[in-house]
Amino acid sequence: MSDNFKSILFTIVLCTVASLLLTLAASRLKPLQEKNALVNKEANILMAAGYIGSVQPPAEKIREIFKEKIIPANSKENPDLELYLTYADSGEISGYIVPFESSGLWGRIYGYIALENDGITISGVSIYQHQETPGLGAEIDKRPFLDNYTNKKIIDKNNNFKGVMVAKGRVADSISISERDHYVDGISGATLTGRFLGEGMIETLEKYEPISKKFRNNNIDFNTDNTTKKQLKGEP
Amino acid sequence: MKLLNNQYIKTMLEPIIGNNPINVQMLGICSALAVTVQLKTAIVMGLALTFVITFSNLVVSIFRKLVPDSIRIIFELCVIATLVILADEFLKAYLFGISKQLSVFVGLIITNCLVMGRAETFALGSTPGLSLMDGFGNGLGYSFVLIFVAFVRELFGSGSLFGYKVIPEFLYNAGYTDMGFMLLAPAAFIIIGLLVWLQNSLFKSQ
Repeated sequence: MSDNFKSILFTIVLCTVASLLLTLAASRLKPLQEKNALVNKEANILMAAGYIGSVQPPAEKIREIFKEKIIPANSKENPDLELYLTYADSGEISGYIVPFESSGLWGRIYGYIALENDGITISGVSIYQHQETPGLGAEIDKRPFLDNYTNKKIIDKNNNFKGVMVAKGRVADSISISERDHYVDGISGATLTGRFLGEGMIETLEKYEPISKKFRNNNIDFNTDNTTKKQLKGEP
Repeated sequence: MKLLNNQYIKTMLEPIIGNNPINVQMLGICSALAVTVQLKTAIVMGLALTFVITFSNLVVSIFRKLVPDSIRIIFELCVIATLVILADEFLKAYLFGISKQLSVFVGLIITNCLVMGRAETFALGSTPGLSLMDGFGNGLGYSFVLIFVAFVRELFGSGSLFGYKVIPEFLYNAGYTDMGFMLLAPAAFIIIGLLVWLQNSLFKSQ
Protein backbone atom coordinates (compact mmCIF):
# COMPACT_ATOMS: atom_id res chain seq x y z
CA MET A 1 0.00 0.00 0.00
CA SER A 2 2.69 2.45 0.96
CA ASP A 3 4.59 1.50 -2.16
CA ASN A 4 1.62 2.46 -4.28
CA PHE A 5 1.26 5.69 -2.39
CA LYS A 6 4.90 6.53 -2.95
CA SER A 7 4.55 5.84 -6.70
CA ILE A 8 1.51 8.06 -6.98
CA LEU A 9 3.08 10.86 -4.99
CA PHE A 10 6.24 10.67 -7.06
CA THR A 11 4.25 10.80 -10.29
CA ILE A 12 2.27 13.82 -9.15
CA VAL A 13 5.39 15.75 -8.18
CA LEU A 14 7.13 14.74 -11.41
CA CYS A 15 4.23 15.82 -13.60
CA THR A 16 3.82 19.11 -11.78
CA VAL A 17 7.48 20.01 -12.13
CA ALA A 18 7.60 18.98 -15.79
CA SER A 19 4.45 20.87 -16.72
CA LEU A 20 5.61 23.99 -14.89
CA LEU A 21 8.90 23.90 -16.77
CA LEU A 22 7.16 23.47 -20.12
CA THR A 23 4.60 26.17 -19.43
CA LEU A 24 7.35 28.58 -18.53
CA ALA A 25 9.35 27.81 -21.66
CA ALA A 26 6.31 27.94 -23.95
CA SER A 27 5.07 31.25 -22.60
CA ARG A 28 8.49 32.89 -22.70
CA LEU A 29 9.28 31.74 -26.24
CA LYS A 30 5.85 32.30 -27.75
CA PRO A 31 6.37 35.90 -28.96
CA LEU A 32 9.55 34.87 -30.77
CA GLN A 33 7.88 31.86 -32.37
CA GLU A 34 4.89 33.87 -33.52
CA LYS A 35 7.18 36.44 -35.03
CA ASN A 36 9.06 33.71 -36.88
CA ALA A 37 5.85 32.30 -38.31
CA LEU A 38 4.77 35.76 -39.45
CA VAL A 39 8.13 36.53 -41.05
CA ASN A 40 8.00 33.16 -42.79
CA LYS A 41 4.58 33.97 -44.23
CA GLU A 42 5.66 37.44 -45.32
CA ALA A 43 8.84 36.09 -46.90
CA ASN A 44 6.78 33.70 -48.98
CA ILE A 45 4.39 36.38 -50.15
CA LEU A 46 7.39 38.47 -51.17
CA MET A 47 8.91 35.48 -52.93
CA ALA A 48 5.72 34.89 -54.92
CA ALA A 49 5.66 38.56 -55.88
CA GLY A 50 9.30 38.35 -56.93
CA TYR A 51 10.66 40.92 -54.46
CA ILE A 52 13.10 38.45 -52.92
CA GLY A 53 14.81 35.35 -54.31
CA SER A 54 15.12 31.91 -52.82
CA VAL A 55 17.90 33.07 -50.49
CA GLN A 56 16.08 34.76 -47.64
CA PRO A 57 17.38 38.05 -46.28
CA PRO A 58 17.37 38.54 -42.49
CA ALA A 59 14.03 38.84 -40.69
CA GLU A 60 14.13 42.63 -40.21
CA LYS A 61 14.78 43.17 -43.90
CA ILE A 62 11.85 40.92 -44.83
CA ARG A 63 9.49 42.83 -42.56
CA GLU A 64 10.71 46.11 -43.99
CA ILE A 65 10.23 45.10 -47.62
CA PHE A 66 6.85 43.58 -46.82
CA LYS A 67 5.62 46.77 -45.15
CA GLU A 68 6.82 48.81 -48.06
CA LYS A 69 5.52 46.69 -50.93
CA ILE A 70 2.57 44.56 -49.87
CA ILE A 71 -0.88 45.77 -48.82
CA PRO A 72 -3.37 43.29 -47.32
CA ALA A 73 -6.81 43.86 -48.81
CA ASN A 74 -10.20 42.29 -49.37
CA SER A 75 -13.03 42.78 -51.80
CA LYS A 76 -16.48 43.93 -50.74
CA GLU A 77 -18.22 40.98 -52.36
CA ASN A 78 -15.92 38.32 -50.93
CA PRO A 79 -14.56 39.70 -47.69
CA ASP A 80 -13.43 36.23 -46.54
CA LEU A 81 -10.90 35.73 -49.31
CA GLU A 82 -7.38 36.52 -48.16
CA LEU A 83 -5.75 38.88 -50.64
CA TYR A 84 -2.61 40.99 -50.91
CA LEU A 85 -1.98 43.83 -53.34
CA THR A 86 1.27 45.10 -54.77
CA TYR A 87 1.73 48.63 -56.05
CA ALA A 88 3.89 49.99 -58.83
CA ASP A 89 5.95 53.13 -58.20
CA SER A 90 3.24 55.17 -59.90
CA GLY A 91 0.79 54.17 -57.17
CA GLU A 92 -1.21 51.90 -59.44
CA ILE A 93 -2.02 48.38 -58.34
CA SER A 94 0.51 46.21 -60.15
CA GLY A 95 -0.79 42.84 -59.09
CA TYR A 96 -2.36 40.68 -56.42
CA ILE A 97 -1.30 37.67 -54.40
CA VAL A 98 -3.56 34.87 -53.22
CA PRO A 99 -2.78 32.03 -50.81
CA PHE A 100 -3.38 28.50 -52.04
CA GLU A 101 -3.71 25.14 -50.42
CA SER A 102 -3.58 21.82 -52.22
CA SER A 103 -3.52 18.11 -51.60
CA GLY A 104 -0.17 16.48 -52.18
CA LEU A 105 1.10 12.94 -52.38
CA TRP A 106 1.92 12.72 -48.65
CA GLY A 107 0.31 15.80 -47.13
CA ARG A 108 -1.08 19.26 -47.78
CA ILE A 109 0.85 21.77 -49.89
CA TYR A 110 0.69 25.48 -48.98
CA GLY A 111 1.88 28.45 -50.94
CA TYR A 112 1.10 31.75 -52.65
CA ILE A 113 0.26 32.66 -56.24
CA ALA A 114 1.03 36.17 -57.50
CA LEU A 115 -0.94 37.47 -60.49
CA GLU A 116 -0.52 40.60 -62.57
CA ASN A 117 -3.12 43.34 -62.62
CA ASP A 118 -4.61 42.04 -65.88
CA GLY A 119 -6.16 39.25 -63.82
CA ILE A 120 -4.85 36.67 -66.28
CA THR A 121 -1.09 36.31 -66.03
CA ILE A 122 0.74 34.57 -63.21
CA SER A 123 3.82 36.51 -62.18
CA GLY A 124 5.16 34.10 -59.56
CA VAL A 125 4.47 31.21 -57.21
CA SER A 126 5.98 30.22 -53.88
CA ILE A 127 5.47 27.10 -51.79
CA TYR A 128 6.32 27.16 -48.10
CA GLN A 129 5.00 23.94 -46.66
CA HIS A 130 4.72 20.43 -48.06
CA GLN A 131 5.68 16.85 -47.30
CA GLU A 132 6.52 15.60 -50.78
CA THR A 133 9.23 13.01 -51.46
CA PRO A 134 12.70 14.54 -51.03
CA GLY A 135 14.57 14.71 -54.31
CA LEU A 136 11.41 14.11 -56.37
CA GLY A 137 8.15 15.85 -55.41
CA ALA A 138 9.99 18.08 -52.96
CA GLU A 139 11.51 19.89 -55.92
CA ILE A 140 8.23 21.80 -56.23
CA ASP A 141 9.44 24.39 -53.72
CA LYS A 142 12.66 25.05 -55.64
CA ARG A 143 13.24 27.89 -58.08
CA PRO A 144 13.79 25.85 -61.28
CA PHE A 145 10.28 24.44 -61.00
CA LEU A 146 8.52 27.52 -59.64
CA ASP A 147 10.04 29.79 -62.27
CA ASN A 148 8.07 27.82 -64.86
CA TYR A 149 4.91 29.51 -63.65
CA THR A 150 5.94 33.00 -64.67
CA ASN A 151 3.82 34.36 -67.54
CA LYS A 152 1.41 31.41 -67.60
CA LYS A 153 -2.25 32.36 -68.15
CA ILE A 154 -5.21 31.26 -66.07
CA ILE A 155 -7.85 31.87 -68.82
CA ASP A 156 -7.77 30.97 -72.49
CA LYS A 157 -8.35 33.27 -75.47
CA ASN A 158 -12.12 32.89 -75.22
CA ASN A 159 -12.07 34.04 -71.60
CA ASN A 160 -12.82 30.57 -70.27
CA PHE A 161 -11.14 29.67 -67.01
CA LYS A 162 -8.38 27.09 -67.47
CA GLY A 163 -5.91 27.42 -64.62
CA VAL A 164 -2.40 26.04 -64.83
CA MET A 165 -1.69 22.31 -64.74
CA VAL A 166 1.60 20.47 -64.38
CA ALA A 167 2.46 18.56 -67.54
CA LYS A 168 3.85 15.04 -67.54
CA GLY A 169 7.40 15.70 -68.65
CA ARG A 170 8.32 18.77 -70.62
CA VAL A 171 5.59 21.07 -71.94
CA ALA A 172 7.30 21.40 -75.30
CA ASP A 173 7.16 17.64 -75.85
CA SER A 174 3.66 16.76 -74.77
CA ILE A 175 1.34 19.77 -74.96
CA SER A 176 -0.10 21.31 -78.12
CA ILE A 177 0.97 24.88 -78.85
CA SER A 178 -2.44 26.41 -78.13
CA GLU A 179 -2.47 24.88 -74.64
CA ARG A 180 1.06 25.70 -73.57
CA ASP A 181 0.03 28.79 -71.62
CA HIS A 182 -1.78 26.54 -69.17
CA TYR A 183 0.93 23.97 -68.44
CA VAL A 184 4.28 24.01 -66.69
CA ASP A 185 7.09 21.46 -67.06
CA GLY A 186 6.59 18.47 -64.77
CA ILE A 187 9.23 16.86 -62.59
CA SER A 188 10.17 13.35 -63.66
CA GLY A 189 9.33 10.89 -60.90
CA ALA A 190 6.80 13.26 -59.37
CA THR A 191 3.81 12.91 -61.67
CA LEU A 192 1.32 12.51 -58.84
CA THR A 193 2.62 15.49 -56.90
CA GLY A 194 2.28 17.54 -60.07
CA ARG A 195 -1.28 16.39 -60.66
CA PHE A 196 -2.33 17.18 -57.08
CA LEU A 197 -0.62 20.56 -57.20
CA GLY A 198 -2.27 21.50 -60.50
CA GLU A 199 -5.71 20.52 -59.25
CA GLY A 200 -5.22 22.36 -55.96
CA MET A 201 -4.15 25.53 -57.73
CA ILE A 202 -7.12 25.40 -60.10
CA GLU A 203 -9.46 25.00 -57.14
CA THR A 204 -7.99 28.07 -55.46
CA LEU A 205 -7.90 30.16 -58.61
CA GLU A 206 -11.52 29.26 -59.35
CA LYS A 207 -12.47 30.45 -55.88
CA TYR A 208 -10.70 33.73 -56.61
CA GLU A 209 -12.27 34.08 -60.06
CA PRO A 210 -14.65 36.89 -58.92
CA ILE A 211 -11.63 38.92 -57.88
CA SER A 212 -9.65 38.08 -61.01
CA LYS A 213 -12.67 39.13 -63.10
CA LYS A 214 -12.65 42.51 -61.44
CA PHE A 215 -9.05 42.95 -62.47
CA ARG A 216 -9.88 41.89 -66.02
CA ASN A 217 -12.72 44.42 -66.21
CA ASN A 218 -10.56 47.06 -64.61
CA ASN A 219 -13.17 47.41 -61.89
CA ILE A 220 -10.89 47.58 -58.90
CA ASP A 221 -12.34 48.63 -55.58
CA PHE A 222 -10.72 46.92 -52.63
CA ASN A 223 -10.79 47.71 -48.97
CA THR A 224 -7.25 48.34 -47.93
CA ASP A 225 -5.55 49.94 -45.04
CA ASN A 226 -5.83 53.49 -46.37
CA THR A 227 -2.98 55.09 -44.50
CA THR A 228 -0.37 52.75 -45.92
CA LYS A 229 -1.80 53.12 -49.38
CA LYS A 230 -1.57 56.90 -49.24
CA GLN A 231 1.96 56.79 -47.97
CA LEU A 232 2.79 54.61 -50.88
CA LYS A 233 1.32 57.04 -53.33
CA GLY A 234 3.36 59.78 -51.74
CA GLU A 235 0.33 61.70 -50.48
CA PRO A 236 0.41 63.39 -47.10
CA MET B 1 48.01 9.21 -20.80
CA LYS B 2 46.83 9.92 -17.29
CA LEU B 3 43.96 11.95 -18.69
CA LEU B 4 42.83 9.05 -20.86
CA ASN B 5 42.74 6.76 -17.85
CA ASN B 6 40.38 9.08 -16.04
CA GLN B 7 37.13 7.22 -15.56
CA TYR B 8 34.99 10.15 -16.69
CA ILE B 9 36.92 10.80 -19.87
CA LYS B 10 36.88 7.09 -20.65
CA THR B 11 33.12 6.94 -20.22
CA MET B 12 32.75 9.84 -22.58
CA LEU B 13 35.14 8.63 -25.27
CA GLU B 14 33.97 5.04 -25.41
CA PRO B 15 30.66 5.65 -27.21
CA ILE B 16 32.28 8.01 -29.68
CA ILE B 17 34.47 5.37 -31.26
CA GLY B 18 34.47 1.93 -29.71
CA ASN B 19 30.82 1.61 -28.75
CA ASN B 20 29.25 4.06 -31.18
CA PRO B 21 25.47 4.30 -30.70
CA ILE B 22 24.66 4.02 -34.40
CA ASN B 23 27.47 1.85 -35.76
CA VAL B 24 27.70 -0.61 -32.89
CA GLN B 25 24.62 -0.33 -30.72
CA MET B 26 22.44 0.11 -33.84
CA LEU B 27 20.25 2.70 -32.14
CA GLY B 28 18.80 5.90 -33.54
CA ILE B 29 19.04 4.79 -37.15
CA CYS B 30 15.61 6.08 -38.13
CA SER B 31 16.51 9.71 -37.55
CA ALA B 32 19.94 9.17 -39.07
CA LEU B 33 18.17 8.31 -42.31
CA ALA B 34 15.74 11.18 -42.19
CA VAL B 35 17.73 14.28 -41.32
CA THR B 36 21.02 13.68 -43.11
CA VAL B 37 20.15 15.15 -46.50
CA GLN B 38 21.86 18.39 -45.49
CA LEU B 39 24.74 19.13 -43.14
CA LYS B 40 22.91 21.99 -41.43
CA THR B 41 19.97 19.88 -40.31
CA ALA B 42 22.25 17.01 -39.28
CA ILE B 43 24.30 19.27 -37.01
CA VAL B 44 21.27 20.83 -35.37
CA MET B 45 19.70 17.41 -34.89
CA GLY B 46 22.95 16.16 -33.36
CA LEU B 47 23.05 19.11 -30.97
CA ALA B 48 19.41 18.65 -29.97
CA LEU B 49 19.91 14.96 -29.27
CA THR B 50 23.15 15.56 -27.38
CA PHE B 51 21.36 18.11 -25.20
CA VAL B 52 18.48 15.74 -24.51
CA ILE B 53 20.52 12.61 -23.82
CA THR B 54 23.07 14.42 -21.62
CA PHE B 55 20.49 15.94 -19.32
CA SER B 56 18.11 12.99 -19.34
CA ASN B 57 21.00 10.80 -18.21
CA LEU B 58 21.90 13.32 -15.51
CA VAL B 59 18.37 13.72 -14.17
CA VAL B 60 17.57 10.01 -14.26
CA SER B 61 20.82 9.27 -12.46
CA ILE B 62 20.19 11.88 -9.75
CA PHE B 63 16.80 10.42 -8.94
CA ARG B 64 17.72 6.76 -9.50
CA LYS B 65 17.45 5.82 -5.83
CA LEU B 66 14.26 7.78 -5.28
CA VAL B 67 12.23 6.47 -8.18
CA PRO B 68 9.92 3.57 -7.32
CA ASP B 69 10.88 0.67 -9.55
CA SER B 70 7.33 0.17 -10.82
CA ILE B 71 7.17 3.56 -12.54
CA ARG B 72 10.78 4.01 -13.60
CA ILE B 73 10.01 3.76 -17.33
CA ILE B 74 7.30 6.38 -16.99
CA PHE B 75 9.73 8.57 -15.09
CA GLU B 76 12.40 8.22 -17.76
CA LEU B 77 9.93 8.93 -20.52
CA CYS B 78 8.59 11.98 -18.73
CA VAL B 79 12.07 13.43 -18.26
CA ILE B 80 13.02 12.76 -21.88
CA ALA B 81 9.75 14.15 -23.26
CA THR B 82 10.11 17.33 -21.23
CA LEU B 83 13.64 17.89 -22.50
CA VAL B 84 12.67 17.17 -26.09
CA ILE B 85 9.78 19.63 -26.00
CA LEU B 86 12.11 22.24 -24.51
CA ALA B 87 14.61 21.66 -27.32
CA ASP B 88 11.84 21.83 -29.92
CA GLU B 89 10.48 25.10 -28.53
CA PHE B 90 13.94 26.65 -28.52
CA LEU B 91 14.56 25.62 -32.11
CA LYS B 92 11.22 27.07 -33.17
CA ALA B 93 12.10 30.35 -31.51
CA TYR B 94 15.73 30.75 -32.50
CA LEU B 95 16.37 28.53 -35.55
CA PHE B 96 13.02 28.63 -37.28
CA GLY B 97 14.22 27.72 -40.77
CA ILE B 98 16.04 24.63 -39.60
CA SER B 99 13.30 23.57 -37.22
CA LYS B 100 10.92 23.64 -40.17
CA GLN B 101 13.19 21.31 -42.12
CA LEU B 102 13.62 18.96 -39.16
CA SER B 103 9.82 18.99 -38.74
CA VAL B 104 8.70 16.00 -36.71
CA PHE B 105 12.14 14.55 -36.16
CA VAL B 106 13.00 16.71 -33.16
CA GLY B 107 9.79 15.56 -31.52
CA LEU B 108 10.67 12.00 -32.41
CA ILE B 109 13.83 12.15 -30.28
CA ILE B 110 11.41 11.07 -27.55
CA THR B 111 11.09 7.70 -29.21
CA ASN B 112 14.77 7.46 -30.13
CA CYS B 113 15.82 4.18 -28.55
CA LEU B 114 19.23 5.66 -27.92
CA VAL B 115 18.04 8.13 -25.27
CA MET B 116 15.82 5.65 -23.49
CA GLY B 117 18.44 2.93 -23.83
CA ARG B 118 21.16 4.93 -22.11
CA ALA B 119 18.80 5.98 -19.33
CA GLU B 120 17.78 2.36 -18.71
CA THR B 121 21.15 0.67 -19.04
CA PHE B 122 23.56 3.27 -17.79
CA ALA B 123 22.03 6.16 -15.85
CA LEU B 124 19.90 3.97 -13.58
CA GLY B 125 23.02 2.24 -12.27
CA SER B 126 25.69 4.96 -12.25
CA THR B 127 26.57 8.17 -10.46
CA PRO B 128 25.33 11.47 -11.93
CA GLY B 129 28.80 12.55 -13.05
CA LEU B 130 29.47 9.38 -15.00
CA SER B 131 25.96 9.38 -16.46
CA LEU B 132 26.40 12.93 -17.67
CA MET B 133 29.62 12.00 -19.45
CA ASP B 134 28.06 8.86 -20.90
CA GLY B 135 25.12 10.83 -22.27
CA PHE B 136 27.38 13.49 -23.69
CA GLY B 137 29.65 10.90 -25.30
CA ASN B 138 26.74 9.04 -26.85
CA GLY B 139 25.31 12.29 -28.13
CA LEU B 140 28.63 13.15 -29.74
CA GLY B 141 29.01 9.66 -31.19
CA TYR B 142 25.57 9.96 -32.73
CA SER B 143 26.30 13.47 -34.02
CA PHE B 144 29.57 12.45 -35.66
CA VAL B 145 27.91 9.66 -37.62
CA LEU B 146 25.06 11.99 -38.62
CA ILE B 147 27.46 14.67 -39.76
CA PHE B 148 29.56 12.21 -41.74
CA VAL B 149 26.52 10.74 -43.50
CA ALA B 150 25.14 14.22 -44.19
CA PHE B 151 28.49 15.34 -45.57
CA VAL B 152 28.54 12.51 -48.10
CA ARG B 153 24.87 12.90 -49.00
CA GLU B 154 24.91 16.66 -49.43
CA LEU B 155 28.18 16.65 -51.35
CA PHE B 156 27.17 13.99 -53.86
CA GLY B 157 23.42 14.54 -53.80
CA SER B 158 23.24 18.32 -54.19
CA GLY B 159 26.85 19.21 -54.98
CA SER B 160 26.94 21.58 -52.03
CA LEU B 161 28.03 21.82 -48.38
CA PHE B 162 26.04 23.89 -45.88
CA GLY B 163 23.96 25.01 -48.85
CA TYR B 164 26.92 26.49 -50.73
CA LYS B 165 27.82 25.00 -54.10
CA VAL B 166 31.22 23.30 -53.92
CA ILE B 167 31.20 21.28 -57.13
CA PRO B 168 32.50 23.77 -59.72
CA GLU B 169 30.29 24.76 -62.64
CA PHE B 170 32.68 23.44 -65.31
CA LEU B 171 32.24 19.90 -64.04
CA TYR B 172 28.50 20.21 -64.61
CA ASN B 173 29.18 21.59 -68.06
CA ALA B 174 31.42 18.62 -68.71
CA GLY B 175 28.54 16.28 -67.99
CA TYR B 176 28.71 15.70 -64.23
CA THR B 177 25.32 15.30 -62.57
CA ASP B 178 24.31 15.14 -58.92
CA MET B 179 23.32 11.72 -57.63
CA GLY B 180 19.61 12.04 -56.95
CA PHE B 181 19.76 8.71 -55.16
CA MET B 182 21.85 10.28 -52.38
CA LEU B 183 18.87 12.41 -51.39
CA LEU B 184 16.71 9.38 -50.71
CA ALA B 185 16.68 7.38 -47.49
CA PRO B 186 18.19 4.18 -48.98
CA ALA B 187 21.42 6.09 -49.65
CA ALA B 188 21.78 6.76 -45.93
CA PHE B 189 21.21 3.05 -45.28
CA ILE B 190 24.06 2.16 -47.59
CA ILE B 191 26.43 4.76 -46.12
CA ILE B 192 25.65 3.66 -42.57
CA GLY B 193 26.09 0.04 -43.64
CA LEU B 194 29.53 0.85 -44.97
CA LEU B 195 30.36 2.66 -41.73
CA VAL B 196 29.33 -0.38 -39.69
CA TRP B 197 31.51 -2.56 -41.87
CA LEU B 198 34.44 -0.20 -41.46
CA GLN B 199 33.95 -0.08 -37.71
CA ASN B 200 33.72 -3.85 -37.40
CA SER B 201 36.81 -4.51 -39.44
CA LEU B 202 38.79 -1.86 -37.55
CA PHE B 203 37.82 -2.53 -33.96
CA LYS B 204 36.10 -5.89 -33.60
CA SER B 205 38.77 -8.01 -35.22
CA GLN B 206 41.16 -7.97 -32.24
